[in-house]
Amino acid sequence: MGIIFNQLKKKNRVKLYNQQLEDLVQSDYDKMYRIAFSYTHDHQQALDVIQDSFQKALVSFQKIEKIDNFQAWFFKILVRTAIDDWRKHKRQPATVEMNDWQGFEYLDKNEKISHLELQSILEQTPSPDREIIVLKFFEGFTLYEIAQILDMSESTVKTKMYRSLNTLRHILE
Amino acid sequence: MTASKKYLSLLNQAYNEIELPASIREEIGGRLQKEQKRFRLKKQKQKIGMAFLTVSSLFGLFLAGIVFNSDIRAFASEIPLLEKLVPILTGETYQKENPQSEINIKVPKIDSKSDITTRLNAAYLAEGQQAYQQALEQLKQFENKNISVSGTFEKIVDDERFLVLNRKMTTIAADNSEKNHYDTVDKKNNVVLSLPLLFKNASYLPVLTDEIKEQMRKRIAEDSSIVYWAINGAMKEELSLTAKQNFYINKEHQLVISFDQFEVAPGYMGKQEFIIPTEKLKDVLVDKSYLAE
Repeated sequence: MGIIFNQLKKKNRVKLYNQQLEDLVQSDYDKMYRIAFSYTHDHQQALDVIQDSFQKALVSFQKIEKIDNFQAWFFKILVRTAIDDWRKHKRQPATVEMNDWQGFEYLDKNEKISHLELQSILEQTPSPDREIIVLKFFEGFTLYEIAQILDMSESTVKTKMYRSLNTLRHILE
Repeated sequence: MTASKKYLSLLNQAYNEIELPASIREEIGGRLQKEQKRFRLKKQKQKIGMAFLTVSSLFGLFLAGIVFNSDIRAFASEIPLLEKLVPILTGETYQKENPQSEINIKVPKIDSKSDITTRLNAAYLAEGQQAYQQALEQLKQFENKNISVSGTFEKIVDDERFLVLNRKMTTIAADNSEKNHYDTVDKKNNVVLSLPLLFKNASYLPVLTDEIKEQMRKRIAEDSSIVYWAINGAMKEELSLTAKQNFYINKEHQLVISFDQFEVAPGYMGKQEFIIPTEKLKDVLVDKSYLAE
């Protein structure tokens, strides 16, 4: 009897997880796309990365008893999948001559960084600093959420966050 | 710090320049649906792989040499007819138990002397043995982790005209899977029924299909939580019946079509059965009076 009851509980759990994922797509589809794209630099690849993440999530639904923060849980999968994809394809950084940069002077004059330039900057930023920059400064996740997504303590995230700001400045100077 | 802040905001701007293509939300939603369907199909395939009841051997015994004939009575045998109430005993029990898993398969034995029962009993025994062997294989594959395989049987109908036996195999492993197999014996004519035997020709298949789909629609209309793949599934899957479809004759002598869990609806709906009004079959039945009004 116990076995049958557990099976029912599991079925309902999986149903709930599926619903949560569907809801998350509706609310966070843009985050998913931009994060994936910032690694793949290609529309189809970005969608594939997202689809792979869905597949991994669906498999996990069968095994996991409880998901505390569904959004963080899924984005952990998405970020990891994106990183794996990036490593696999060792994407060529956008060819922007960093030597032309005059750092802040350039910014003062031009008031704009192009997307390609951003790509290049991010490519030169090592993980997990890169993820922290994207998640915190671009996508607006909280330190606590980032800690869950990247599987580190909040204090570690904070430390790395300040360090990553410095890294950025060095890249540009 | 202001330079950094300003420059961060520029980076932010650049980031947000990532163009969100038109209808990207729908596209991503579509990708999720694709994966969900793939996953569901994968699970269904696993379940079919775990099915132990083999309809084919039993059909082989009785359909071999049987020609499409318009008169069922032509199959009547010389041997005495089955008596009114037919006891079904447990013939053999195949069992194996260890801390995490269990196999328990009870083979029915029809306690009545007749040509038909001898053949049926022999078939049940053979299938029980086969099911037991397959269960042992599955245990090995799953490394004995929490599997329970149980085979039981149940008498559904036992009156002057019919004996209906249901053999049920339930496998509880990573998920739950139940398979039913019904045998309907026509006592008067001493024959085990098969769908083709009841009908003039293959035109009964679309008639049954339409009737069942009609009933599915009615059920959905009455209860919106009901889902049938063929009618309102996320991905439509056509209902396709074959001569080997699970069926039986009920107490009221009507035709009942029975689908196992997962066959025509999501798992939570369980087994699905449809009683076919004899009215609807009038044009395709070999013998219009064979089934009750």
